[in-house]
Amino acid sequence: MSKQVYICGCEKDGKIEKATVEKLKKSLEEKNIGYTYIEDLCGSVLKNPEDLQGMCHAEDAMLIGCQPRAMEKLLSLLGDSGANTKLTFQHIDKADEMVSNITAGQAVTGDAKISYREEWKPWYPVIDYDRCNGCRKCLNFCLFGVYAVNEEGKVVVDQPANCKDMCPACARVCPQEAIIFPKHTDNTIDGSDGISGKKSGVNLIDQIQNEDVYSVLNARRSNFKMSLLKKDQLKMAEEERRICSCHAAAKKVDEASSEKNDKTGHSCCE
Amino acid sequence: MFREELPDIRLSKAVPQSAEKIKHIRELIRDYAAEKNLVPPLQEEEVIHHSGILIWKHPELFPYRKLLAVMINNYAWHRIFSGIPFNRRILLLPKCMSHSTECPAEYDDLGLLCQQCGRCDIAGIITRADELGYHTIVSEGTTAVTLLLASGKVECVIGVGCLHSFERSFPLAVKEAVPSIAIPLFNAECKDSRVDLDWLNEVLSLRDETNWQGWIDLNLLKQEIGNWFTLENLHRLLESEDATSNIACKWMASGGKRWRPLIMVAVCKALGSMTDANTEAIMKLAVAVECFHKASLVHDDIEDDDAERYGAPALHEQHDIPVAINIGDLLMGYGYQLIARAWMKGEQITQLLTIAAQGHRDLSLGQGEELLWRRRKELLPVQQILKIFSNKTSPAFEVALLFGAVVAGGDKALMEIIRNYSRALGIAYQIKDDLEDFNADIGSNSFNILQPSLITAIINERDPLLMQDCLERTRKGDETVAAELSQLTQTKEAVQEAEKLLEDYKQKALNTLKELNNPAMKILLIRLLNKII
Repeated sequence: MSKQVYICGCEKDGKIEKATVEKLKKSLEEKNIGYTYIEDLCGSVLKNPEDLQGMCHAEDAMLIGCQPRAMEKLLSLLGDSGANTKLTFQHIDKADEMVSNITAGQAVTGDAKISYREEWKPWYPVIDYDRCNGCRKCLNFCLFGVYAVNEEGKVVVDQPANCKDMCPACARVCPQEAIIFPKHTDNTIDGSDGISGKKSGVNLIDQIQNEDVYSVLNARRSNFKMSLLKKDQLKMAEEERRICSCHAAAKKVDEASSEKNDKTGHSCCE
Repeated sequence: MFREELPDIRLSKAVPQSAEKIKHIRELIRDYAAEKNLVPPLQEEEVIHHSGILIWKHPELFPYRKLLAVMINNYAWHRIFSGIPFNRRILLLPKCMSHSTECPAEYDDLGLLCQQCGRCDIAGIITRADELGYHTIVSEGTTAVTLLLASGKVECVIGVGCLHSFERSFPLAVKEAVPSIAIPLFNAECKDSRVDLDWLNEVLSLRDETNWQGWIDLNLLKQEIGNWFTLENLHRLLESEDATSNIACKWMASGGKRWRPLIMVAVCKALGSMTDANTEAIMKLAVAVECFHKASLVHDDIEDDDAERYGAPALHEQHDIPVAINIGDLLMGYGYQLIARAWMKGEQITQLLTIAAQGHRDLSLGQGEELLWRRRKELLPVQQILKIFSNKTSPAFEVALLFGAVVAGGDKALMEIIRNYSRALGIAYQIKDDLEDFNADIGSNSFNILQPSLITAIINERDPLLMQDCLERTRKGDETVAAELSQLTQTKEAVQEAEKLLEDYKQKALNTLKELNNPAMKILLIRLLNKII
């Protein structure tokens, strides 16, 4: 059976580097593997979903683009007409090895293209319902009415076009980390699999509700200043280490020094 | 889905793009506010009223009406704000002021942690605010703001944001009566936003020589008052050690929210009349108010045949009915004894006695109406129910508030405002209680239609035949009525109507405060309303 390859270029202010896409295209062409290029999956899902039908119902297809979870949940916005289970997702940074496993002649699609021609940058949230617990924080949080509750009582992205470009604030509010902005660059907000862990540990939100607000804010400020200081110290330490090891290496070359000298070279860093 | 479908929200949410123009409007409003002597917190409709007047005088300001509202509110708070020390103020900046692509900052639960890289204005603002002693939060969206305002523990806020976000947080700031100044952003694009730095700096440094003492830490006060109700202190105040008094003191010391003493003492504090010298007298009066309340509870539980109070057996269950009735009577006596021994001035004693006696009278009239009604087993009209509500609950709040006002030597106008406020508050409190009881009982199918309830009264008013039928079936012992009622659309509509009434009475209570010219008292009564309901 032949595998159909789709590539999303994330062209609208995207985060996928053009060069990476070109490299991938080239290596596919070298191996004589046909592919379909999607200019912007986020855009097509919202504005021209019918263009994606071929991919969604292909017998065996792979979509290469941003985070696999982001692409998967994005396509689930299409509902029943969305992706069937035969479509697999691949991050473009890891596409090389996948491509090497596809042998020439397996893919049959030509050098086709799914365009997105609108001016509007498709920036909007995608809810991962495997994580969402329906707490509605996002609904209450968003000032622009992006979210709504449907008849089943489920929170849905109702007005994606109302979303403010580059604002991922609702995703940060979500206690389940269930909101994905595929075009965002931060870990987990972009749909990468992990949980950031920011939500665990000291919960400031609880603290300001239960304790003295002013002392909580004071502690927060001094903790942060301390962490900046530590960061600076670490940076300085690393810088010194770098310089020292350069010295040490230089000494080694110049003097062909003994082990003893090498050791003194390092000692300044300790 | 398309941007074109969005209504043009910019029209009324415009902010002039030049600092001079903004300054001009600010000066205009400063003069207006000075002339009108605005007492904060202003209700939304008051703010709209004032901005209406301004637009009428200066029609060219029409596009900026939301901005005007914000500025009017700012000036209303101006004097109090200036009296709050810097280290009790919280500065809230929006994350959208940061550089949209190159900001290196990380985030915690409350927002952005500025690294002072200097790519945007935030670093400079924070440095200035830090020097003064402010607490600064750079928040994304309004969650942190909402939580802070709702915590009831924040004394003062400066908020920078777009007019959209102010629309969100304004009602909360009003609800919690937090002294707050809002400074709108020039743009509402949620990206690379800018603020009028001159304006912000001017507000940041506002501070006069006086300290505003009007903010009352209700949580702390509650703890202090809790200490007045230890067994030891009660025995000391009531000056007795016999077995009957022991039961009375134990009953006084156990459970309850101590709302009434808290209210009374908070009023004394808000009116600036609590000193070390009169604390003992205020304590006696506060305990007196609680004695009256606890006495009425003992009798109430017997009359209503309630076996439990504060999650424990009611007093007549712990002992027996005659003992309990007697304890109620004793507490009444102790209450008056405490009033006599608070050593107030002659005129004040007359006032206190009048207030206490009227409280007992109204309470008993309300309870009496309900008891007679139950005996008749008929349905009452809504107005009658509201009157019972008013009589049953308003006196308790009224007595506590008025006692505080008497201690402070409050004038007639203040007493009148307190009476009207208490009436609306009492009714709202009972509606809420009624709604909660109804929802709990109807959910478990244990609702008794023969109890006085606002919900059944509303259904009866709209559909008398239906309720008549339910009533007759209940009298004949049909136990399916409650389950049937819970399914009816009439019931759902009646619940909605009751919820609306609750909001109406809350608003009524707030409206009574418009004439109040003491901001500390106004703030307290608004906060109490939201704490109690």
